[in-house]
Amino acid sequence: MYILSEHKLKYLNRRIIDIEELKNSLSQNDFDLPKIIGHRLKGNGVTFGYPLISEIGIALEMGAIAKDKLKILESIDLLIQVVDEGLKLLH
Amino acid sequence: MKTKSLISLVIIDDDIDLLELLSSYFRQRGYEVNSYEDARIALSEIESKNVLADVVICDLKLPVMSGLDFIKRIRQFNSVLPVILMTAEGSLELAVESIEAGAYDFVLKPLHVPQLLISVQRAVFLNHVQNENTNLKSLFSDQDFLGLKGVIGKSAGFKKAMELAKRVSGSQANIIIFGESGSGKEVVAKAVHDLGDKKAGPFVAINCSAIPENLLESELFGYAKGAFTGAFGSKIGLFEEANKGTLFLDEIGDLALPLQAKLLRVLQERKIKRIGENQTRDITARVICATHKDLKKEVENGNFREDLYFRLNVIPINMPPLRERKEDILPLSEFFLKKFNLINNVNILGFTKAAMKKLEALTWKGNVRELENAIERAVVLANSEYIDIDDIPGPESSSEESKVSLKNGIPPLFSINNIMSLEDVGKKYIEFIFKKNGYAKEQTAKELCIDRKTLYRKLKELEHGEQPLH
Ligand SMILES: Nc1ncnc2c1ncn2[C@@H]1O[C@H](COP(=O)(O)OP(=O)(O)OP(=O)(O)O)[C@@H](O)[C@H]1O
Repeated sequence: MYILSEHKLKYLNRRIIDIEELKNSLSQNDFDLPKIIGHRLKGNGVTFGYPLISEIGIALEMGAIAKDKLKILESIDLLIQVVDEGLKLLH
Repeated sequence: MKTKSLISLVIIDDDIDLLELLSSYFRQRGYEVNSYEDARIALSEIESKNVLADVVICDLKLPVMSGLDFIKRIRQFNSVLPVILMTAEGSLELAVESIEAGAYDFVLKPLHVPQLLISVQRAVFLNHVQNENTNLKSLFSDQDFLGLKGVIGKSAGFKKAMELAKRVSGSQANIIIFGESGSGKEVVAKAVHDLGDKKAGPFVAINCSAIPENLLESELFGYAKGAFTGAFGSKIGLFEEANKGTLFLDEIGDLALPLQAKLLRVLQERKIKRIGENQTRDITARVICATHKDLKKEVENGNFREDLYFRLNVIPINMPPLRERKEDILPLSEFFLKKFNLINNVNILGFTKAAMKKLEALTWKGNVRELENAIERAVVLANSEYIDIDDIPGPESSSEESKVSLKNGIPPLFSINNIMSLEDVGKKYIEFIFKKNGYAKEQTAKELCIDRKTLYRKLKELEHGEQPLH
């Protein structure tokens, strides 16, 4: 496999930062950042071996376009779970 | 062939995760990778040749400059560099628009990286073929002036001289070409020959200051058997050799006064007599002269006959020194690069921006000849695919070189085991000053306090003894 576990680890750790930023932006009613992060996750999740993260990215981007706070919150929760499980598997 | 260094890849994506992943993936496979989050920075690095990319991978959706805008900008100065676009938006319209803008390929995110590798490999191959193609084409066609093979220049001064050469090539008027040593006087003379009606005939060139006076006469006019001691057979002179063609008399300003009188007579009568013969022979050669000297001043000083000056000066063509036609430096450098690539069977691709700046900034005392020598040296010494600033000898480096060679070079001449004759020491010294002056003969002769003729003779001896100096 061309994706080393060090790449995956770094990738998942960066998602923890994303999660914090997503929470912050929601509290400030900012939908731009969720759209950017969603778009990015849509594009890179599968590549790093996390197809679920790509799905979450799609949901985030759509939620942000629709300004649907609930959908974004659900996506954040799901992302927390996927990142958590992913990190456990790597350790 | 020189070994090709790594294939250079530029990756642009604002997604730092992908940027890192792709960089590490391609580095592991032997690529040299430069990665950027901002397409504008990548663009300026490529444009300024700080980064020499073989292939670019660029995300389509970027915050400041989009992938499409990046391609459009790149295409303004580079029509061949393959750019692979990546995008998470998979619409057919977008793919078509990207290809129309000049993208080489369009890959969808989420990326399947091995698939991207295949696209990169194909792009590298395409780039290689395209480069080879352009190199060949440009060597054989696009730079040649007036269709003359290997005659390069686009400055106003160069064009003026060459266009005048073309206009007078059909006439029989006497032409004299003025210009510093190495500026291309012989190139102009050859152009007059090649563009005119004498082109089917021979082009015979002689440097009047390279041959001792007593030999020059027999070289020019020939001699009959027994004309002087040692004339065991007869010999035709260059005037006759050049019949139906062109005789190019270089450094006419150095011609001795008695020979000037003889030349004047030949030009007036268009007849010659071989030495020791009474028979006159018609000459049909066109005579073209050249000099680096200010002939008017030579006339004033009594070194050159006024009547000959007026006879020759019917159509003066002036080839300006290279430092006054800087626009020619880069096209000439490119041409010499290709020439010496072919001769040395190497594949140096070009010059770095810094090297180009240096080439344009130098004064080139020895004119095009010095530039040609410098590029030849750089092609041989360069250890990357592009000639860099240090590969080109500069005024500071040449004087540094002289200090070094004076410091390190002279002691061996005096070493107990390697005693040189006085003559050899003299030759070495001439060689040293000649190189130091960028092969400018005038300057060298001045510095050595000898006249040009002596210098020519000494240089000839050196050439025969060792490898040619210029
Ligand atoms: N426009 C040009 N394009 C390509 N090569 C050139 C050009 N001008 C000069 N050269 C090259 O530079 C070198 C010197 O040129 P050339 O012999 O014509 O100079 P010159 O003025 O006659 O020099 P000298 O007075 O020392 O004999 C030659 O190798 C010539 O081919």
